[in-house]
Amino acid sequence: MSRLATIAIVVLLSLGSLIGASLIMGSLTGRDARAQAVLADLADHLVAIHTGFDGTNILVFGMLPKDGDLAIVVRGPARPTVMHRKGSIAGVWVNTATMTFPNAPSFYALASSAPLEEMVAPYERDRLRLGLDDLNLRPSGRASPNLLAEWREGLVRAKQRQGLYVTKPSEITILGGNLFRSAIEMPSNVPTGTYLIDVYLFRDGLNVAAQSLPLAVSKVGVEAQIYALAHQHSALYGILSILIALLFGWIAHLLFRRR
Amino acid sequence: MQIYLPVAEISIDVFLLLGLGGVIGVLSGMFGVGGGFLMTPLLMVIGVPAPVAVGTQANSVIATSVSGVMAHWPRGNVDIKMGLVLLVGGLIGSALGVVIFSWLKELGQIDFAIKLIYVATLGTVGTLMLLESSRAVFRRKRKLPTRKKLHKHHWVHGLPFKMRFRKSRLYISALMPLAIGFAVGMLSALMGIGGGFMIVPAMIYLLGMPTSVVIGTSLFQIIFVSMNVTFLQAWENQTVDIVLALLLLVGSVVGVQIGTRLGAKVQGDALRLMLAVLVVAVGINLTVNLFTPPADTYVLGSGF
Repeated sequence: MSRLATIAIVVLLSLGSLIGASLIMGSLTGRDARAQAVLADLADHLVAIHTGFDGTNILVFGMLPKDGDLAIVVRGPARPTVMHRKGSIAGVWVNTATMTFPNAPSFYALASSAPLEEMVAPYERDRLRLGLDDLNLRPSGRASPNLLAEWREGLVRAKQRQGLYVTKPSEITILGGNLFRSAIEMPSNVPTGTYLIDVYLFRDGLNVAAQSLPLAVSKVGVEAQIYALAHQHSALYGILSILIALLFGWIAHLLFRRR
Repeated sequence: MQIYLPVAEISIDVFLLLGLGGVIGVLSGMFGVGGGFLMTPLLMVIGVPAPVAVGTQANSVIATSVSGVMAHWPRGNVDIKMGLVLLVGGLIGSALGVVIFSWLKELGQIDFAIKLIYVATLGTVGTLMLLESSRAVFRRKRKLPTRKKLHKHHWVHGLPFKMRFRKSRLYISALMPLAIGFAVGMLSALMGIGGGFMIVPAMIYLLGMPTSVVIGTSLFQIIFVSMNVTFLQAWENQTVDIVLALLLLVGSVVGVQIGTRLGAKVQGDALRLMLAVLVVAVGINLTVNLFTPPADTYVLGSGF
């Protein structure tokens, strides 16, 4: 009996100390994290693509601890992206090779409080995939490292031409030492889907805190309905398009026939 | 004022689209052609993805040819029997064209193929038209008498399955219009046009139809071929943008009225010469484009 009681007491005691220790440690790490943390939010969590949509600015704002540098990365949903390389055959320029990148971000933009090279250690840039040079796009096909690098650079250039990989980092304005805001530009041809906006805090070149914010980019209203109809009920959409065109032709005839 | 095109997934200025429709409308009113062969390349120039330009253009061709046929119908300028035979060929040809289109798209060669087909057809038809119309203008200026045979006999007349086409005053093998319908239907599906500029000369020079019934009859069959193409493009490739189509139509409906009035003031053969020059110019422009080295050899495949 007494042995059982001792065991029970020992178990209870050790459990208690474990809980106590973890509580203390928890509060410590919690306080530590709070001291390091960034608090960020978006002015709008939805980018609505409506009829008059002509690009927009994503407004990111928040608080940061006294010392530290900030970087904000906007990544569009990963999409399979097909690239072609043109070659000249008998003087005519034709697509001569094709490479697919199954997980290329459909959109990529970056904002930083200082030039990236100055505030982030190279391996951290690589790890967090910060900046267009460190995007680390993986193609589905095989190619020699040199060729692969060319395909990658080609993809980045092509996306830059469309304004979907933003070349120039946007500015982050820091007010009163610990308030920040940044407006990141989105062109009118932004792909739809769920975007991820990562806010990173750096100290001495190392990433010490981060926060992720989701952003929905979607078509709304008539635009969304037309798109959905065209893709989900293609046959019905085709028939409707035909009927509308027939009706239009008939109306045009009624309006303008020679009286 | 920008408008977002839901299927093309880009924003384009409304007035640019209306204006484009208007200009093409003026030309099609003047020359009696659909103008698709100008519209599709121009849409690509302003940034509409090639597959969407093609699919959408097929949709607007329906409207323009319907109002065209309605104008010709009361004058009895539509040979329905001939139209139906052409149509049978056209439906088969355009269905095949859409299949080839999807296949080329998968190969990643659709943009190049579209341009190449444009160069080939515009070059051929344009040159033929240029020769014919300049000869006609030259004759008129010199007041040379035009000699015309009442009836020509080619090897074509030896083909089987002869049919009588009363309105066209022809007794020819049905294989001929079937083949023409097929070829033009296939090319139209690939080029996103009605194909008027190809089928009209074919009807006049290959079938020997009287000019009076050619336009009405070709428009009649173009309605159904472009309906077929629109449906198949929407269904197979999801490349019909109804918003884009309607904007272009609004512009072209107005343009056609202006064009028709302008066209009435110019001699027929001079008009044909002007059209020929236009066709050749577009063809040359596209040819130069094919041979011009691209700014970047790496390009994105269109998402369509």
